[in-house]
Amino acid sequence: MSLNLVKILVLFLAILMIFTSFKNDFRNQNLYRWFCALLLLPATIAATILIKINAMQSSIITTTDTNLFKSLFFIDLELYIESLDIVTITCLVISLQSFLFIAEKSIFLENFLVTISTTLLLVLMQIFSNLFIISIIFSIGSIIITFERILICGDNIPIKDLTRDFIWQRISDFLNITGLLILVYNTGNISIKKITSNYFETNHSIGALLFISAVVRIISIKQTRNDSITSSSVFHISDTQYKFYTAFGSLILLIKMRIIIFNYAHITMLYQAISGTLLLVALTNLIINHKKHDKESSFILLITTVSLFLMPAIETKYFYILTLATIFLLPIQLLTARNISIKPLPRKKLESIDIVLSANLISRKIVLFLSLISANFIHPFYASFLLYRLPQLLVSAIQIPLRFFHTGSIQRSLLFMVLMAASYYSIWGL
Amino acid sequence: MIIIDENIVSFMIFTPLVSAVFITFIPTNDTGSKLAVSRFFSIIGFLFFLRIVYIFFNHKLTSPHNFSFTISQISINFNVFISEHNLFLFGALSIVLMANMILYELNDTKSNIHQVAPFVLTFILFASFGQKDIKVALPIISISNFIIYFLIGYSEKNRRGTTIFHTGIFLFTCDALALVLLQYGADDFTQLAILLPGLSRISLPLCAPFMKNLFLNLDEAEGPFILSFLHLSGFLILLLSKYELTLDQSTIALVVGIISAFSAIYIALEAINERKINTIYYYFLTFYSTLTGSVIFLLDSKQSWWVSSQLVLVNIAIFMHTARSALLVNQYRAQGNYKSRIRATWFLSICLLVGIPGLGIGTVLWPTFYLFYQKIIIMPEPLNNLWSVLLLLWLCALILLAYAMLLIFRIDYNDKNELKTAIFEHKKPIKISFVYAPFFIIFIAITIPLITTYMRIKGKIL
Repeated sequence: MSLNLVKILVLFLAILMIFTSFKNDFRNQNLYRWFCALLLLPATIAATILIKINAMQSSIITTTDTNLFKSLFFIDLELYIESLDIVTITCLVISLQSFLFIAEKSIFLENFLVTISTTLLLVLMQIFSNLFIISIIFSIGSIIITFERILICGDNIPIKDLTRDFIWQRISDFLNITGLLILVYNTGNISIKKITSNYFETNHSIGALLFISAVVRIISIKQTRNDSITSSSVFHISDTQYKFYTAFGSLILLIKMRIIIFNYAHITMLYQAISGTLLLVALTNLIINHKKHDKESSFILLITTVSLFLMPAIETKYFYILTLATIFLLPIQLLTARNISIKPLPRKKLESIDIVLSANLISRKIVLFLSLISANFIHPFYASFLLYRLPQLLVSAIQIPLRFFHTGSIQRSLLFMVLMAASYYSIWGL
Repeated sequence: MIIIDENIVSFMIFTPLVSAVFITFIPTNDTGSKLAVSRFFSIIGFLFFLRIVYIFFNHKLTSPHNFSFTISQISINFNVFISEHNLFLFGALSIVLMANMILYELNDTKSNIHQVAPFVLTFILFASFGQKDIKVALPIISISNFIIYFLIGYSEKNRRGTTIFHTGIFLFTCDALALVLLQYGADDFTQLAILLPGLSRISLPLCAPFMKNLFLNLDEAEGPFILSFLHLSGFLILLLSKYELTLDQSTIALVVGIISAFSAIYIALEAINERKINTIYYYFLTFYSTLTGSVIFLLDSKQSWWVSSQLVLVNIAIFMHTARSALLVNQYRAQGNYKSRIRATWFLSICLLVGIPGLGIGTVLWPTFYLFYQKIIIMPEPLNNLWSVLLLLWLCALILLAYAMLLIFRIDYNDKNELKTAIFEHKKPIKISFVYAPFFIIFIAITIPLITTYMRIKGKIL
């Protein structure tokens, strides 16, 4: 029964997402809102029953009948939902339901698509057992939400501001997938179900790769700061939704991979130290920006800080603290439903301790410098000089005797040819 | 059906030639009829290929196919071998031809050869793909390059002369060197030069110094086909030269790996400096082709055909789509119709090329890296470390390429004046097919690996 409930939940969320993507056909916003509510109702009921069953039995939902999927996709699409996952899923669905009703009229149409996509992707991330699929859903989700954001506000906000964190997200993806590939090779399985049921030892490097990827992803939230929001906060909301998705998704990944990352006590200490330092930096930034009544920045930093604050709490024993704390991120999503007026911000230089921005700047400078060297020095030297000009010079050196005779006149060239032929016959004979 | 099945290979090979003849019969100005005929024949050719795949995996295809003609005492005789190694090359080329005909409109009335060239080139490559001996295939491919030079020469780019000279002289030198070495029968390290014709066509920058010049001076509509032609012929030459070389397989794999890893970094650094959306996707194509080049040599023959076919097919499909998108984006920008829908679609199209896990080329890229890792980890000590460094270089190049993509996406479209005009002017409606195309390509990128894997499993069972 629980499995069917999960299927109903995901199915109706997906239908709602498809329905929302055709929003342009709707003129009457209230009607549209009621249609959305109607479609969301089965999902909400399913979520409510799920949490009730969970409270009574504290169950773990798994599937074994994956033959259909296996024959179709050749990969294991097994479902595995722990009891604490059900709590987060239900909270997400209720949060979406609340958003549907409390969202203001001026922002609803533009932002509901991003909100429903965020919710659906986060729910999908929690129901699969395969770590690969979870990571893939997360990275594709970031692309889809960026795509939707460009669709909503591409005419009003420069693309630069919408894709600021793109490269950090990709670095994090590549690190994450590399870690998982090594894990598959070493242990032979990638399913959370098998990893949790069998004790095994993994390499430090896998945990480190996954942890660094999570840290990079959470830091990248800071990168998404919009400086050029001008007239309306409609666009600001989709932006905050995206930040919420990144923070929430990274934490879900951390929860799912906790056994691999926090396998050794002394390494876990190191991770906690890193988290603590980052937390300190984020808090300092928050305090500095709070003084300036910089609401927008505080908003973003709130997400970052909360996410970072949760990191030290993760240990295999206390992961329920993390799950509960993840739910605390939900009000941020709900806050976006109210249209908070935000004053336009002037562009600023680096003022506070901003490790992220300066690291970004330095790495960008290095890459651009290297590419300039390769374009202006290595390529001309190698391609133009070494492979074309040098052989040309050599050939022209052989032609030097010819130059004595050949000065552009056809008669002299003919004379030279006759001389050549004559000398050939005189030396070699017939 | 039985009659078709008996002669299916000849049907597939000669369809392009027949269509070339038909197109030539139509007057040069009648581009509509020419386009209709070319679309019809390219689709028919692709259907023949699908039938061949079906027959091949049911083990009903007899090989080799012998073709002989006698025209006034000149007899032409050639055999066509079809194996799992070269089958995907046929497929890739028929996809390229079909995509080229369906995606682009034939609106130039420059000359007949412009309209016929893709079909003639396809026929030549089809005939060469079936060869087992590099000494037969290489001269044919080398000569057919002259059609490409003609196409470049007829474009309107400023430096087309230098491009033809650089490309032509380099490819010709490499081909000649390889043929001489093949005749001479070298058995030491000099025989590595046999790899040069293949590597220079895949445009590894270390082996193809003309690369950047060629990218910049190709016509936007003809460029994708010409580059696909060069890359596919390069794969063929690499596949054939693999059997000619008598050196230790791991040494050759290492040489190709080093060249391609350094080239990948080089391409990525060059791509960061690129400021034109009409050329950026060539860098991505070259990057994935270099990777495929090393797949052919690093993995053993049981795995390599399967992995490289996936990589080539997905890469070509996404490349053709992105090339078309870039052309349309330029067109919309020129009309002052560069709205958020077009921006978003262009973003998604470019994202397909970046290698994001599970999206676009990422569906095949990461399994390939996994197979590489599997192969590398069991190697002896010094080789093992060297290959790990090469793998790391590939990953770095991938990140740099993602950065290059971001730069190209931002720089071209950040003009504020343009943003203002974009909101108010809607001169021409956006094509719906343009907006939905990336989603279709995402679907194709998922299905190609599934089909290939299915065939591999089925091939084993039977």
